[in-house]
Amino acid sequence: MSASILSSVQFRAESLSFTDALYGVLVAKGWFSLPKPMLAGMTGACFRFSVHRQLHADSATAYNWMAEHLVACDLIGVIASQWGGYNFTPTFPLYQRQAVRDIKSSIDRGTAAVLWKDRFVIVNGYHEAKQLFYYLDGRSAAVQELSFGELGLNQTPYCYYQVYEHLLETDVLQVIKESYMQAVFRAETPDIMLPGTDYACGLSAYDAILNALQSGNYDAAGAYETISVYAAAKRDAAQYTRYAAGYWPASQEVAGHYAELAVLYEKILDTAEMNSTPGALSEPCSSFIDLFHAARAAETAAIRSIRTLLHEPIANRFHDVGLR
Amino acid sequence: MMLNHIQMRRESKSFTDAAYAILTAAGRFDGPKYMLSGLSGMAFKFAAHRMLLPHSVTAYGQWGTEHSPGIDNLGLYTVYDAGRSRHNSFGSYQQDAVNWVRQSIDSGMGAVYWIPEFGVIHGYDDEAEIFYLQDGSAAGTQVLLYDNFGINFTSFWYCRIFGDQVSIPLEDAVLESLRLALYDWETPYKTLPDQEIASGRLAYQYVIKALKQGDYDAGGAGYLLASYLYSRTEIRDYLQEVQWRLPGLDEVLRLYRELTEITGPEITAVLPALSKGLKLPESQQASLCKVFKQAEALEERAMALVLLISGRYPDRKRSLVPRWGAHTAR
Repeated sequence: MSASILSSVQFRAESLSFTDALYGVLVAKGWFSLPKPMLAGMTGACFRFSVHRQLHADSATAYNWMAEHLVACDLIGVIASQWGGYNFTPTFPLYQRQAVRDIKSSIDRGTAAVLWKDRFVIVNGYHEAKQLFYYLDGRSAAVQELSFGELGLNQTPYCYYQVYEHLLETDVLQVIKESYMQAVFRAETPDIMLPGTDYACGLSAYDAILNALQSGNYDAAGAYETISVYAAAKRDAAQYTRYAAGYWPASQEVAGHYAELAVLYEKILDTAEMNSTPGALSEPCSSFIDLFHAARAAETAAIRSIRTLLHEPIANRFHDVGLR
Repeated sequence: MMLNHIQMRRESKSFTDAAYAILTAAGRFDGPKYMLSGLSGMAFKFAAHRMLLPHSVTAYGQWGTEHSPGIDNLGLYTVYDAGRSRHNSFGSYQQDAVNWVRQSIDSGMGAVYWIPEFGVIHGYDDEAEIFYLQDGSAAGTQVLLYDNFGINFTSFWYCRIFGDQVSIPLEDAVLESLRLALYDWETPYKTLPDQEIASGRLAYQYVIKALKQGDYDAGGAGYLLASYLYSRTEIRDYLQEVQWRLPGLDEVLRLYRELTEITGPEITAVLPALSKGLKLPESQQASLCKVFKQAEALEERAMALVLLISGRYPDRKRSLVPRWGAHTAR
């Protein structure tokens, strides 16, 4: 038996998140044809913001994958199924076996799958005789191999995969409006999966970042990673909201705030603190900290402008902005 | 296709009743219902709405993330789907679910299905496009059109199936069940941002406050109290069976035995009135409150012991931050 590979699938690390993998899958399948920041925005991904209080490197991936990724697909009309769990539990082999079946049958349908392999990667093929999958991780251009038996056995204790089944028709403007409601939800509501003592979410993430920077109580490599990933998210948010204003002129002001926010993050990325030691944040001076104060103000203004713009639909959801 | 050997009986929480009927019929669980209820942690779940409305009994959290860890502790593979039937994607997930439920029945396993409450799908007829459904009452089998799958008077749908099984040493499963119990006890709200329903320790406060103020739904209170008594009796019987598996568990058993002894007669005495929709007279109310305060103190002591027992063994799952589990419904 020979290899079965979906050769049109591409993986580009740009959003530095799950979005990169999802985009690669959906574009190859013809299920998404807009630029990547549109996917980051329509799924709400670029509005997610949570950090470890000492800015550990897991800040960008410590969130409820099961909840977030399923909602992400639902917002854009993609029917998906997924599983996530620890890879050291007694039942893990049962789920691993099913994961192999699900991903293979997805490839047989001509659809790649997303898999956690200590980062989100795209599984784009398999070889039955060799009992292995092919995957792209965006780091090396070549496809890599993963034996069926190794699936989910990561350095991190997590196994997760998502496969995609159908595409439903959606109305872009409605999707944009909903994504803005979800942005408000994310800015104001903590991820209840994350212990509040160790993590901060939404706009309060700025308090945690500022505390960490001012006290010096942070992980230098983790801080660099955290800031880089969220700078990519804010860049996506700025581009998304700018495109969105094309569909929805009334949202121009929202786009203005996110543009300002993205500029601030570009400045942060350009600082000496982010560039003097490769892959690590150097001790921040006051101008660096000021940029985060400014970013908090810009992002707070952005959320306020969404609340004004969507005053009525938000009010109709009472205390539960996120519940569609 | 009909799985005739499945017979659901309403005794415990409806999810437990449904799972028990399916798993015993398929040879995946062997033993009394209280063992399934205990090992899955279902017996420990205790939730109360501020007004003691009848849905208190099933409102113990987001069902997917509440039930999965319990089923996992039985060593079983399980898949579920659930959501709001008003969402655009519902029709698509509904059709998928109709298919996987049919396949599950073909493999000899029924499905847990929210009717409401939880029932069992134990057969289907492709020509008539219907499922056969039991709710555990004497009414026998009901019929559900494929087209109506998931549609009910609540805004959500839910369905779960089971698959292959691995064997988990009983000591490990007992320890895990205690940890599931601790989580329920210590988590005040399971359906955030809503705070009308409390779980575990805080559920006692909600019950006592509602009774004291007389501001409660009598029928709901009756259902809640009957379910509470049944599940606390299950915990007692479960611990009776497994007490020698872990040192210190005999003391926890003693506390639950005392708890059922003091709450049993009190609850049994008030059920006839409540089930008729009548609120309790002042004296009965006061006496019930008093007993509930004692019960809370006993369960608090029991959980403090459980915490000690749990602390003696490593708990890798709970020393990590997961990437799934508790979430806000969207």
